Amino acid sequence: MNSKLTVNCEKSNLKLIREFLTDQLKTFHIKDENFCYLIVTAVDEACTNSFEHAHHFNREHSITLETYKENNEIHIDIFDPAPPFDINNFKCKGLAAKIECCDDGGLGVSMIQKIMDDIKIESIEGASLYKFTKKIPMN
Amino acid sequence: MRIEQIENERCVILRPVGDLDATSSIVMNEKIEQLFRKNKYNILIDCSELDYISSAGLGVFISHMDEIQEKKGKLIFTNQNSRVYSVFDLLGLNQLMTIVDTNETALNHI
Repeated sequence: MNSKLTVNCEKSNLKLIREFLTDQLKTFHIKDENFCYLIVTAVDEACTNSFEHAHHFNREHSITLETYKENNEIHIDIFDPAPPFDINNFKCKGLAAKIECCDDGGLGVSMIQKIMDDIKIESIEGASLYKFTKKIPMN
Repeated sequence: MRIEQIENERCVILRPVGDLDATSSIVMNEKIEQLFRKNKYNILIDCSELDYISSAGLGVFISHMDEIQEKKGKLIFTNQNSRVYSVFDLLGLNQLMTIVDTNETALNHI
């Protein structure tokens, strides 16, 4: 089953996105609560970065999320009208000695990289399609 | 999110209630800076009512760690549920920050 959510790029909609994802993940009957929580976190971070850096929280702009389960994998696609941001190759410039983080959204990107098993980014006529994949743990 | 605050002789306990995300992290940042202006550097973050923390929320605490250390203060997290702890663990922050089970245990660190 595919489910979609389109929201404008206001900060207050981040909670709406988290609630949508949490509800969707429940329909996949995954028992591991922390697993679901981290997926929600990764997508929240991606949307936060997009809202802030690509759309400057402009409520006239919107993104669309789509979730589905396929072959024991969870897929989350984010269609963003802004140009692509290369999540896979982003490296923190200000990597601190003891913590894996940096300023300007780097901590969030680091979280996405650590949580997701696969991130594909397609450029579609100046817009972006982020395709996140996470394998469901066997238990 | 709202922040409940309890002060005693040894520390200030901040209890965020709800989600600490890109929207509400501004409130937490302002709260901590208010404490700094009052020379209060022993801060206990009681996570018992914290449902969600994003990188923006974590960034607030990370950005104030140096000042707290310079002032010989303590920043201690307590009562984290497994979901919130999983984010600290993911980033290795559990190695860098003081996380204990209860507020009572935290007081032994101050």
